[in-house]
Amino acid sequence: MDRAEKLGLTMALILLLVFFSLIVYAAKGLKIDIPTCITDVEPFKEGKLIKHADKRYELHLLARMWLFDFDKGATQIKIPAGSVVDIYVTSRDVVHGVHINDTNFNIMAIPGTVGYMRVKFKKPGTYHVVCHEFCGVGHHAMEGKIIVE
Amino acid sequence: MIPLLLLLLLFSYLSAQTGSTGIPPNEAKTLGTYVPEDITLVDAQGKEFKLGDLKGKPIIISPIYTTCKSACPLITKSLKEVIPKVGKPGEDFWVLTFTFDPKDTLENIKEYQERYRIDGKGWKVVMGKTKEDLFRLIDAIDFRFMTVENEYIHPNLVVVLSPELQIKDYLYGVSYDRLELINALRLARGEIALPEGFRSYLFIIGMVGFVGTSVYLLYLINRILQKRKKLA
Repeated sequence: MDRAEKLGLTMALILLLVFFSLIVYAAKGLKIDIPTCITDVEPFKEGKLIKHADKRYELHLLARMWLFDFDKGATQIKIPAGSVVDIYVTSRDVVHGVHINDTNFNIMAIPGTVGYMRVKFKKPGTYHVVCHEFCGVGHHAMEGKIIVE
Repeated sequence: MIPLLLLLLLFSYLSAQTGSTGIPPNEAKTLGTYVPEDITLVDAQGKEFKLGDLKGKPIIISPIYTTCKSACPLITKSLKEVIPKVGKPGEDFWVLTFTFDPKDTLENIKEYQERYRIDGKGWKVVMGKTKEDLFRLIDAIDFRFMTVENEYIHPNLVVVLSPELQIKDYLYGVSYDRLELINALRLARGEIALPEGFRSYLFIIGMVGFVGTSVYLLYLINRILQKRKKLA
């Protein structure tokens, strides 16, 4: 084998190993909350914001062509700053993507399954929610707002 | 063949009974950490106490909600069967059947205690005094639930704490094995020690070992093949 080829292969292998160990470190060492997919539940049919306690919410976010249903059709919700929100995501029709700006929430909304991640909204402000999976002619206008005050 | 099929049907029926198990706790986050002692709980008699008051004996926490129709009754029934075989609640350890439903009231837990004939002394049915207490406890053990109409989707588990309120072990499922529970209690008492931080890496170490072995085997096979080629 050529020397340059050998070098390239070794470098690629080393890089792969580095990336893999970084993933493991991020998941286990940094204790980052990993998004979860629940496949064995009946997905919800409409969006809902459930208040369990002060600053403690459960959000059922239904993505559909071409809007985000946060709470019985509402495309924006208001919650107090410091809220911990358990966000469940599903789609009613095709595959959508949900990205909440300024957070690390980035989940696919897949029909038939429920995606999950927990977000703590520390800073007040408007968090824009956008769809990042091309889902049809209305894709570019598919957005919502989470207003944290 | 037919008995096997029947067995399979039985198993699928049994697992269908308990439904989804939701989001499992992240053990890597919780094992080895301490549950705050100042979490205030209320038992079915309406008596308030702090988790710290139970220090000195291991604590078995079983999160349930009282209006549950599927998994929680099975969990409580299984604990009813296995606990007497393991020791005496109140003397050897505490058992807390803890409702995570923010809507549950004192009436609900009283009714639950009576329904399962739980003594209320060594084994208590409890709720958080405030919703803040409730969420502090379920956050400490990383227990998550999802609302579905009037029910909750939740993982089926019990948590075992050390006498110093350190989280030591999780037991999963709706029925618990005697030996499994004895082992968890020994772990909680510190009779057997497992480095908690290390435990979550076990799977990855195993995987790295597996991949390493396969790569080495491929290398060996390759070398043998090349030798043969040279000979030919």
